[in-house]
Formats: sequence, structure tokens, C-alpha cells
Amino acid sequence: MRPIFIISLFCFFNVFNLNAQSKTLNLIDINTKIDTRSNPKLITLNLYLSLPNKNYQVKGTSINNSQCNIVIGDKKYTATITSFKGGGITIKSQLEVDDIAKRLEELKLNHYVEIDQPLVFKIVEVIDPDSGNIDPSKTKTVTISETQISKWTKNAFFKLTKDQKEALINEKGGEAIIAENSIDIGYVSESESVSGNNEVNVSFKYRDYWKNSTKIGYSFEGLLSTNSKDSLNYFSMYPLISNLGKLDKEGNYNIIGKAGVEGNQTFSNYRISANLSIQGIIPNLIDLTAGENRLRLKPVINVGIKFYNEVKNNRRINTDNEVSNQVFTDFYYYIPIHKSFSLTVNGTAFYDLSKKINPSKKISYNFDATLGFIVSKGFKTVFKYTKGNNIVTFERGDFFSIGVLSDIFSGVNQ
Amino acid sequence: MAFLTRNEVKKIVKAALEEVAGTITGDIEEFPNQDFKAMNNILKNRFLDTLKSQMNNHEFYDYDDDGNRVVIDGWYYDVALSILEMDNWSGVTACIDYVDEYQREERKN
Repeated sequence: MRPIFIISLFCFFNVFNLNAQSKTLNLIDINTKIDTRSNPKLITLNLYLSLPNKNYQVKGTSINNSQCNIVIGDKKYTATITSFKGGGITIKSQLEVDDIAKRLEELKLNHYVEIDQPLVFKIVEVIDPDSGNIDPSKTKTVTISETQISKWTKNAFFKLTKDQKEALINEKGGEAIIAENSIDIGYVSESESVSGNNEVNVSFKYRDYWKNSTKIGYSFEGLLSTNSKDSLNYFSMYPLISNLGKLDKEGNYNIIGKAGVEGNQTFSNYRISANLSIQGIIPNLIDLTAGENRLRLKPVINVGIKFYNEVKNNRRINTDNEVSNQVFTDFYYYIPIHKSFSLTVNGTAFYDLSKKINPSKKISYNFDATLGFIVSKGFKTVFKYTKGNNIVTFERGDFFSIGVLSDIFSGVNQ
Repeated sequence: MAFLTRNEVKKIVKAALEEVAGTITGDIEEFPNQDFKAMNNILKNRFLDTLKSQMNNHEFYDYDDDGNRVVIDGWYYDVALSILEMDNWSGVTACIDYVDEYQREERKN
């Protein structure tokens, strides 16, 4: 009797110690995040675990070396496991550029993550969030079984949203084909308009990559109005835009090429054009904050040369369709003013090298200056002044409009 | 391993903002959200690239036997970034909170 009792006590004691030394956790939430700034790009699966309290963190350097794969049908793709501060482990999958579309298509099928041995790691309790120091006596060891991982991750990548998938294909780190997609609607009163009527206008810009392309994009932009003959109206469509490379090794400036069609609203004057430009960020030029704590973003410029062939023009003299060049610069500058105001300036200056089109050898320009302030969440009431030469017809004009600035596709209105 | 504290993440975000805005002297969390949201995609690209670089190159910490942080080699910090995710941030505070939550520890190759 006595030896059996001693053996039983021994077994009980060791089971108690095993439970005290290693515990398991439950899954309480899971989400996906993408990384388009790394090379190769990443999809991360974040598994929030049932840590003892919110001060606990997973010690990433303590995670054992479990071989990890994403299993899709009969295919396996290597993944890695690390920890994230929010309270759990991250399963990370790399995506080579040429494989992204194919892998995203495969992840619509049933899948799960497998590991070749139980996952073992430590969790620590941070006792001082300012220093990040822990209480070593509160450190615990956690074991997650192969079955738990497979069950938790079953079809987890179904959580990838359509926007995340498109961004994985379209976003390219360090390069900037895509400009701000925007639409502004403005109202010009009859006292301000050239026509003598009340007018509504819309200015817009939209750019995106062609489907399945990571290098070639397209864009269209314009200023259109209910007065189709307004001298500043224009419409441009570029089916080909490409970032041709970095000008400097730091990547501060990029070389952009694009080709398309540019015309006025009625296309009574339009041309085929090809541009080559250098795009980058320059130092701040002006401070209108008067000492208020504002984020003074630097200006963005684009300087280049345009080659064009007119197809149709509405000039009264020199009516032959010209083949010519222009030197141009585009400009975007957001200027905070005092505590609550801002001035956004979008402008273009250009010099046409054709003696017939530009006999006086003038530098032409157009810009819009938008004064805004916050009146409610995400919107600002704007007063917009537009002035200058039409980039295609060279006709001059200006108008002052009141409207509501709304940025679509860029998440401003939240 | 020891994750970066929120204050350390805030300094990293400040360094990334200074890349697109010049020297900043005030509290970045007091900027109006509209200033942060005014970045066009060219500025966002530069901001995100700098943010990632600052994270990757930051000193990496582990714990000594007393539970204090010490610098070690062989690891680095990282965080998943994209313009899509950035467009979900309402302002600087949301940016800091995101980086703080989703920072990861990665072993160097």
C-alpha cells in the first residue's frame, strides 16, 4: 500500500508542477493586416490570446522554432510566427510581387496554418509602461498545440478585405504614381461668372493601376462646368502612367512618364501628349501659423517637359495644328494658418516653346487656392479661387466659388 | 524581447512626420486631424517609408534577470504599413496607437 501511495503522490506532484510551469491560452480575436512597404510584401494574421491581464505581452524572442506553413489544398507556403504587442502572436506570410495575384486567388480556397510541433513561448507582465520593465516572477510559459493553431487559423485569410487585396497588388513602397483621388464641387454666382448665369463646376482627379499591373497606371482629371465654354475648363485622360525610377539613391525624387490626350471641355481644342517629369518634396516655403501648433507639410512639386501634337484647335489665328514642347511644373502645398484655417494651393506653370503658339514667350500659369476651416467632423467649408491660363487652350479666366471639399477614395471623411 | 513603449513609438512617429514637415517643436498629438489628413499620396509614401525605417533601425531590447530592459543584437522591430491602413487613421494619435498595438519583433537573417 505504502509504495503505491508514494507513487501516486509523486505523479500528482509532477502534474501540479507541469500545470504551474506551462499553460495554454484561448483565442479571443483574429484580424489581418497587410504590409506594402516591405519587400516582399506581407500578409499578417494577428491572433489575440487570452492573456491573464492587459499588461501581459508575448516574449517574441522566447518563441520556439516551430516550422510553420500555410496549407492550401495540396500546396504549402512557408510562414513565420512572431509576437505583436497588442496581445498575441502574428503569423506572417511573404508575397513575392509576381505571386501576389495568384496567392490571393488561392486563399479563396479552404486553408489553415500548420506547425510541426507545439508552440512554446513565455509571457511577461509589464509593471511600468513608461520604462517597459517587467516583474520576472510573473513570467509564465505557454504552450499552444498543433491542433489549436490549425483550428484557430481555419480559413482565417478569408478576413482579407477587397481593399486589402487591391492594395497588395497596387501599392508600391517608395514610388508614387498614385496621386490624391479627389472631387470638388463648386458654385459660382451669376455676379462672378463670365456667362452671367449661376454655374456649378466640378474638378476631379483619379488615378489607379491597370488591373494585374504593378507598373502601369492610368488617370483622368479635369475641371468641367455647366458653362461648357468656360475658358478654364479642361479634361485630360492618360491611359499610360509609369514610375520610371528614382533620380537619387535616397529615393527623394522619382521620374514619372505619362502619355494621353488633353483637351478643353468641348474638345474643340485637344492634343496628344507625352510627359517626362521629376517629382519630389521640397523644403517648406512659408509659415503662417503665428506660433500655433500645426503640422506644416512640405510642398510637393513635379517638374518636367511635355511633347505634344495638336489634333484640333480653336485659335482664331495660327490655326495649323502644332507639334511642340512645353516645360512645366505642378505644385501642391497645404499651408496651415493660425489655429483653425488652412490654405491649399494646387498650381501649374508652363512655358510653350512654339513661336506660333507662344509668340510673346510668356510663362503661363493656373492655380486654385482653397481656404478652409473645420465646421464639422471631416468636412470643411471652402472658398476657392481659381485663376490663370487653360493648360490646353491658353485662354485666361478666373472665378471664385463656394463649395464643400470632399476627398473620395482617400478616407478623409471619417 | 521588450516591445517599444508608447512614448518611444511617439518619438518614431514624430521623426517620420519631420521627414514630410520639417522640424516639429510642439506635441504632435495636438495637431488638428485635418493637417495629418492633408497629406497627398506622395507625402504619405515618404512618411510611411520613414516610419518603417525608423522602426527597423531602432535599438532592440530584451530583459535582464531583474526584468529591466537591455539592448541586444540580432533582432529588430517592424510593423505592417500601407496607404490603405493610413487612410483609416483619423490623425496622429490613431497612427501612434496603431504602431504601438501592431509592432512585432523580428529575428535578423
